[in-house]
Amino acid sequence: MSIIVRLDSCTGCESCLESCPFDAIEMKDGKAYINEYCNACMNCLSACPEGAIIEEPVTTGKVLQDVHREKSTGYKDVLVFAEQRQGKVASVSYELIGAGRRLAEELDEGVYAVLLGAQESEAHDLLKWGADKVLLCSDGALETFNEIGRAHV
Amino acid sequence: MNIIVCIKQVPDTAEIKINPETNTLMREGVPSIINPFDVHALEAGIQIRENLGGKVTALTMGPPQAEVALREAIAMGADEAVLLSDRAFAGSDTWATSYTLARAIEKLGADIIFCGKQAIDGDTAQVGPETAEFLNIPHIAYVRKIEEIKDGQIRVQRLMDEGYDVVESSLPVLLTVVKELNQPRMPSLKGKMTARKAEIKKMGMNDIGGDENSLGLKGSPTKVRNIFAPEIRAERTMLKGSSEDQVDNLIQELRKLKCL
Repeated sequence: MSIIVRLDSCTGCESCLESCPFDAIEMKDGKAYINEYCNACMNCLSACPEGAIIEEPVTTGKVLQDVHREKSTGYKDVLVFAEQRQGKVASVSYELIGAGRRLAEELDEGVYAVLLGAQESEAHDLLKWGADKVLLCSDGALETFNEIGRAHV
Repeated sequence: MNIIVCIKQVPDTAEIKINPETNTLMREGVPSIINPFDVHALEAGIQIRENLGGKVTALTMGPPQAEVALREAIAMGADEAVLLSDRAFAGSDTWATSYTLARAIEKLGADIIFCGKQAIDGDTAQVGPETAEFLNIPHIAYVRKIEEIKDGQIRVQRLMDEGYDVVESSLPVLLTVVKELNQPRMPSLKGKMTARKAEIKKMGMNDIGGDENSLGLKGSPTKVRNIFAPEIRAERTMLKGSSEDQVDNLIQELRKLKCL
């Protein structure tokens, strides 16, 4: 949903401007417009004496419609960080691969999983659950939870 | 001991109701509070000052109305308060927020920085760790107990799924805290009077330095496209009969839903 001003009801009284904690409302030609700083906190809805500000439901379109336009960044593929505890992959990682697959299909790219501190058999499971490729680092030092060490790898 | 506690003013989400007709969140007239985890962070900072001496500074990045939250922090016992506010910060995601906080903290100086585990409106839990990275200092998240601070080192218990780890770090360090850490005190009458008269230090874009392009919407790699309450779907079908019947029915249902 997005917050919009119905211009035909807006009288240009500017009551909404003060109510916005994010400075997201601007006046143009005597009417109020809500800009990209809006966080949908909805303070302005009750501030408007004419009831001109409403929330408009947005029909859910494709998640990544804007990514295609910005694809020149040089980044590609979806990377899933697979969590493990005592050598066993956490089940949330399989769910993430599923979500990663959906995004990768829209982008027409691949899903890679990175797994630190576990054995090859766990890596094979990640492939079964839908990863195209698994980057495995099974050094014993990475087995216990140490976020700084893992972040460096 | 120079202690900075990062706090955030958030809508009291416990008070938010769902409009039964439109199925959306009703946020009008919801009171603002200090993010509950940040209250525990303030208590932690104040306790350390009581034991080891020093100063507690409450820091918030937000619109001008966030000053109210800073005064509540002073009422609890913070010595000073800083409001980091500027139009240039508007539209910041967690990356830009952390960058901005880090630049301010660098200017103010700190031995220990406390943050709440996460904000109850954004729920990302990213700002604490990201701020530590921008400051190039270690951080420990989910601190449930502070065991000892001595000789420039700190030892804490970090909450994990199945218990806790004991972790040591050198100072300066950033800690994010969970509710188990302490029982926050209520502001005293004297505290509230001090808070009413206290001078809040203001910092803006020009006071923190850094790269202008890393601030606000411009410095935010992520953008909020849409905020919505999930549809409440309460339909469910109970399958009856023998196991074979239930399996046959289930296969039919899954085929109808195009899952098989």
